[in-house]
Amino acid sequence: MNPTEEARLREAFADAADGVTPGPVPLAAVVRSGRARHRRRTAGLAACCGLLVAALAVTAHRFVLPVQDPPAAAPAAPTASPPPAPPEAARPRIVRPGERVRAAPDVLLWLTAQGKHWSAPDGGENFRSVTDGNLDLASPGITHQAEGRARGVFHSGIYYGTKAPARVEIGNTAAALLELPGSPGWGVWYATTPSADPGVTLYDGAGRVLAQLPGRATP
Amino acid sequence: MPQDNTADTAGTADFADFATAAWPRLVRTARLLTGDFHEAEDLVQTTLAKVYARWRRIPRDEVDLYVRRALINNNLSRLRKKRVVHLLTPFLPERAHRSHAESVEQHTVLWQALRDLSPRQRAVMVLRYWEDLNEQDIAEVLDCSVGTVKTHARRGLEALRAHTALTGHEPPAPAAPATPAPASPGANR
Repeated sequence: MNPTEEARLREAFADAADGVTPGPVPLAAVVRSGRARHRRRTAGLAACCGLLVAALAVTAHRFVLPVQDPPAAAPAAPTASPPPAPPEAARPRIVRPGERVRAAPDVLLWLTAQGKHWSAPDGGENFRSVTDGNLDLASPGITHQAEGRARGVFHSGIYYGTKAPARVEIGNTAAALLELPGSPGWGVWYATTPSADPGVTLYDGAGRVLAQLPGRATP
Repeated sequence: MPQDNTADTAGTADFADFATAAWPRLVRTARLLTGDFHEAEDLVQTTLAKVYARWRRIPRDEVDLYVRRALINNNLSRLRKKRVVHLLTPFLPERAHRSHAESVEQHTVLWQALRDLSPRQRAVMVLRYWEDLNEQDIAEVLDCSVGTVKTHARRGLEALRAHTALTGHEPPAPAAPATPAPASPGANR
């Protein structure tokens, strides 16, 4: 670019910009809006920290409690804890990979070969993997994630280590079951209950307990 | 807590000084970015509110860079959200020197030229020819490479050159014969 051309452009921009006469800075409005923005960000951070602490507490509960009370968490022997009545077999619903299931009014849940996905109320997405090596798919087990809602608590998790799951109970509530086609050896359960941590049990078709997570209120 | 209040008050006073001094230039820059005076004031007000929310975390020697970057990003975000494609409508500035026909015409041509640029090309042109930043500084503001800035600048300049009233640069003539065409009609097909 030649200097004349550059000078003409600078002049044109300056001329156009100087044709504007800004009013006084609306300082009070700016500060008020900035403070509100700061408060929202601080509240958001606090909420995130709270959720993180809650998640850590739940995780610690899962891992620490079985050590203190191994019989409660270990896969139960057929005679260890007979249910009061033989549970009714409820075959899992077979869903396509990525098929969205309305698991609660504000929660969509779907399965892929990698694991369980579910939506958050803010539009975000959560994921629990079955391929990251943290789950031993060779023996029966069950996981549990709980999220408080305005009305009740949404529970979901992965059951695994069995090709013949019949029923998952959380407290006294029967959970819905989802699986991908082909009996991959794991599936997803979900339910909404009034309480946060009632305990989860996975049964087989004969009513035997395959795996159990104790509830917080369990004596 | 008294200490927090004192710090907050001092921070607000510090910010007030900065905002008061920066406001006119920011509005003019925003005016060039948006093409609309009211959009410009809204954009700067939003940007300053965001800056105020983080004021204590911004190093004082980086305030100008931070604010310019925030202004550009907020404008890009605003355009994405509103899907505005026609904000840079040609208009005659109310306070422009209407008696100077040439100046008015040049303003109109500039708005038309800027309207035809992409948001990032427009940002590069405004930072270059109004804010007087070099390519390295523009790259820092836009958080991109110098090469990207050069590309935007080259394409933006090509677009502006199409408006001869701005640059005085004659656009390249369509493929013309090397030698004067003969007078005979039909010989120059």
